[in-house]
Amino acid sequence: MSDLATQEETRAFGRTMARELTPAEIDAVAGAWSQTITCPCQIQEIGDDYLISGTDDGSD
Amino acid sequence: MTAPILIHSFPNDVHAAAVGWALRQLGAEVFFWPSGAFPAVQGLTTEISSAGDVRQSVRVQDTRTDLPRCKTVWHRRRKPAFLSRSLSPKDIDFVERECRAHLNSTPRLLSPDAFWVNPPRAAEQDIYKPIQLRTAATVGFSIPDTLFSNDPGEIRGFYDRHGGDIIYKAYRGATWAGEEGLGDKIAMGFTTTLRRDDLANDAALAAAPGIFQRKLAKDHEVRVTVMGRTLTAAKILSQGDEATQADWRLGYQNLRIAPIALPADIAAKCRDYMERARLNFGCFDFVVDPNGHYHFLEINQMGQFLWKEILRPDLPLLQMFCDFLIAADPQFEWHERDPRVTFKGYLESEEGRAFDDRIRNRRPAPSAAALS
Repeated sequence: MSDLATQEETRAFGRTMARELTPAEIDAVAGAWSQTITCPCQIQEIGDDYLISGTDDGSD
Repeated sequence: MTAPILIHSFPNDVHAAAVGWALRQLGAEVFFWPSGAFPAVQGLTTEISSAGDVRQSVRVQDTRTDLPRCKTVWHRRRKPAFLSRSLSPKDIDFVERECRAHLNSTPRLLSPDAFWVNPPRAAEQDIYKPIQLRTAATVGFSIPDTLFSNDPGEIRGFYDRHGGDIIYKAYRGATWAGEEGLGDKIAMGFTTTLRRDDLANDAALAAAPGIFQRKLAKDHEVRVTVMGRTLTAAKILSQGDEATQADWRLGYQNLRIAPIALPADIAAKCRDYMERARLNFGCFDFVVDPNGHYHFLEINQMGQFLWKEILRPDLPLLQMFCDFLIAADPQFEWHERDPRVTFKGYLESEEGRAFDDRIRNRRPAPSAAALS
């Protein structure tokens, strides 16, 4: 179990079980598959003054 | 002029970029409607006249374009609302609800006679995994015992009933970035084998529902990509590497796949499922146990498919998918031929190299220019 689950702030179980990957690890493990779901560039292309809300309707 | 094929996705979606490029290579007209900028930097309008005529427009920065009547709509990836940080927190709930209503209703009026991949109602219905499993059982697929719950007692009971041999996965692909302590890492959810200790924190378990499923003995896995009546199946050899035993996505770099012919009964059930779910496109995931029996895990109604062509260039999925969109036929059957467009060809093209450069160097996408 990750330390995240024992901190005072409650983190959702899904977050406590998530793998924390560096960008290089993501490239290495997921390759072309990952570009469409993990790339944070969309935030940057619009700028840091915006928030994503809600849930992506994506699919693996 | 022929009616265009509309692609609705976010600008950094490599599938959308590659398919758009390939369609143009094949002479099709493409209209790209970028998602992920509404409402912060994208205006989206629907006007309905007293006669019931519908006009819809999208504006990105200073460029406004009417959404065209289309032959085919590839409803690839719709992103949620993008809100300005300057928006008062007191208004966020209101703005989110309004945006959701607008985003949900806009596509339903867009080219109602077009061929949709996938029809919005079918797509929305099928993202819910409990519904998938019920439909899968109805068509005769074998499915594993599965619990969808945020009740810690139920979850631990399920764990105990299955002798601790269960996995956890989320309803939806999940990523976290920008958290304190994460640095430049991204936290990603994968299918995970559980231990009893993982289930100790009631607050964490109760915070959100999860999917808990009996762990299946695997010989290998199979992904079936369906386009109309055409099924392309590949065996995924996930069990030789510990990293990919629970979730093959964790070892993409070393993943080995091989095209296979599906057993006739499994192919028939896939087609039956697609008809019942009213889907034109989808990617089925199966586990094949050591006795050769197929077990349905899920279907991704807008799954990724070009990775298979990268691993096996003899699976011409880009050409096949373009032919599918151009044919605009739910009964589409692909007839094998040498592909005129390939994913490798896209990646080596000027457009593909520019896309890759933008992703790797985190350069802004030309959102406004994409509106055409």
